[in-house]
Amino acid sequence: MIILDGQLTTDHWRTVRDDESLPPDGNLLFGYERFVANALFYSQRPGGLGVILQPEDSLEPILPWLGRLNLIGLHFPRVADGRHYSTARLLRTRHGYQGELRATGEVYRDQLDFMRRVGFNAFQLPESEDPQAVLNGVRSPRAYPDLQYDLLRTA
Amino acid sequence: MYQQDEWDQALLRERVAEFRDQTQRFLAGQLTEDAYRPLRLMNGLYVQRHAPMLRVAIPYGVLSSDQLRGLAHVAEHHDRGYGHFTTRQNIQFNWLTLASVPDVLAELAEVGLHAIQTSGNCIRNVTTDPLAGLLPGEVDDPRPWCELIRQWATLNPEFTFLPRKFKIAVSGRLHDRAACRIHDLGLELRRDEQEKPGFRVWVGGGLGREPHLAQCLREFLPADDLIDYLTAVLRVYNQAGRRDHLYKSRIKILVKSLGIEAFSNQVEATWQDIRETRSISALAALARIQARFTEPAHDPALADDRIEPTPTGAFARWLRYNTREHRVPGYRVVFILLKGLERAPGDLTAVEMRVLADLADQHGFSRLQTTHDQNLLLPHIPVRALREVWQTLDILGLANPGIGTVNDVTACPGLDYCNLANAATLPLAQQIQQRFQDLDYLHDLGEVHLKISGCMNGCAHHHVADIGLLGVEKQGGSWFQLLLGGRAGAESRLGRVLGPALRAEQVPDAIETILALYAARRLSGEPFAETVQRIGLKTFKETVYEQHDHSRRATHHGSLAHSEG
Repeated sequence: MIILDGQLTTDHWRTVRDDESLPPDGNLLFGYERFVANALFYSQRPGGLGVILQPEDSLEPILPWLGRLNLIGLHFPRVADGRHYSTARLLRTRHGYQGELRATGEVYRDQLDFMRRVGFNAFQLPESEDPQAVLNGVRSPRAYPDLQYDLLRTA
Repeated sequence: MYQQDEWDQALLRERVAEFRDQTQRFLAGQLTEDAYRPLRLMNGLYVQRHAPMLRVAIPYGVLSSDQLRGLAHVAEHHDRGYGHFTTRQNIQFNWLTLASVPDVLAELAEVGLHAIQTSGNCIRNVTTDPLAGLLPGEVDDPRPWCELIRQWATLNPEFTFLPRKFKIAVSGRLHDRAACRIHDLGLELRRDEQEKPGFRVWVGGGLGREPHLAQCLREFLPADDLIDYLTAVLRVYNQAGRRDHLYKSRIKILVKSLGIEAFSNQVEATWQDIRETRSISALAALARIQARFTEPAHDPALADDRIEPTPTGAFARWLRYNTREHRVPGYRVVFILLKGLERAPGDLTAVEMRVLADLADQHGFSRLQTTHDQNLLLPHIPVRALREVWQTLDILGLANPGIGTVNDVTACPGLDYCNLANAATLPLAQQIQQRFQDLDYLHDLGEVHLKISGCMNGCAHHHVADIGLLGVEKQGGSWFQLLLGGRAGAESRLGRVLGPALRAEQVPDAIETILALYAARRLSGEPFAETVQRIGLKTFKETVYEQHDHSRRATHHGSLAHSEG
């Protein structure tokens, strides 16, 4: 289960391992290197197309495919690694990405509102987090959205 | 002073509710220590030697009397009856229990105070010149800009998990008394040829393990672009700053490794992007904030006030050294020295806080101000009330006219409180003050800033002191390295190490030797750091270590006469 646009839903995406042969159909989520190496080919097959970025991965190689990508996953290896907050914001503003933007990895309830404000709309929580409790939990305080390019304001 | 609106107040209440929930989950075992740590740090809560330590933000040092009473209440009901003012204009409580912290924060929120981002890898409390808006000749007041930056930085979702902490200082136009060049980012208010407002931007300063003075990132940034530009700097840092090594993560290391030019190019490109996609007008936001700033209503009828009868004795001395001319005739700025033999530097008891709050209500428009050297100001005292204010301060033991002298020691809490410290700073601060009790001698020496840090993190800013003392790691007792000739401000300079570390017991003698040499060799009116520069560190080194060897051979032969006041 994942949280998508504020609702608990089934995940309709399949993560394709790097050493796995290409599944015939479905919504497929690729690792960054495999995606970048095969982007043209993958973009022509039917079904949803997605890629997961680590914090150190550059956006440049995926920019030509933003219109075709249905899902971009941004992975948080540690709570404290905040690089993807900037990645998310760049994707949503400068690059105008409209598809699903999903946070994966160390994604806990106390970070969710920060993530929403920079443009994430989907969250894959670790096993230890009960997604229903997260949805019902205490929200983060308001901040100063007019000074912070808050994306919830315009969403 | 900025008057909070409903939005500001609701934010604080929501923050308390969130932290209460987080703390309850931690205490119930639903949050691990690792998961809870960044959350509590972003609320200023450290786990220290004896108990959790809570650092409460005093944005750019401005306090109302009600806020000081709120702090007094916390000190009395949740701590051991006192608080500790820091060099970054904040206040710390050292003896709280973890379970009580949500209640403490709730009480503080009632008076508009909080601990948001006083720790953790995020944008910290913005600091400025404690005398901003008070002295004659200041044209632009940095405080509304500080408030704008504070709001932009508060829970800014993009910049809450930075590689490391990030400190911003804003200085007024005429003098940099905000120490811009020892901050991650320094902003100096300026005007261009058409008198349009803007900033000179400094980046990559910082003390601690690898001290650096900031470099100039932009000679002139139009004021309206401030928010976009700050966002660009932080975005470059957030994405490119190192995260693999605690000591390599500050922006100063990034700027150093890229070079200022390459770093600047990245910032400019990012700034350009932000301007093209979604720009925020800083001047429009500033106008909204300025409208919520109230200034005290000074009484023009007091302009010709004189103190009658003519001050003499202790009162006259206090007036001369602990007060300064105010931009409004008929008023003075009053300094309160939070130092002395009976108190650790920066400590203030709940009772004292209440009396000071009352003094501010009676005579000073209910305003107080914290400084960078752990003192307080009563910023707007009418000349006609000075005698009464002095008498009250004197009763509290807070009228010591030692502002700016060697006895105005700045010190971190050191080994007595802090997990990081190598050495005990508080007993040394006391021994130094004990040694220099002769006010005539102290005032003859003039301004000599002495700062003691218990470890190389440098919380007391020992690098920018005339005489800096650094606690170092050594077996057996507390040892200190001496640094001479540092200064903050427009002519920033880092102090240089004098020689091998000394035992704490040897330090007062060494300082006495240094001061005697300064007194003997200075030119008329020459500040300490200039004398060090002119006659050379070597001269000081030879004198101190020669004296030290001599005294070791001849056992202790008593101090020089002038210190026995």
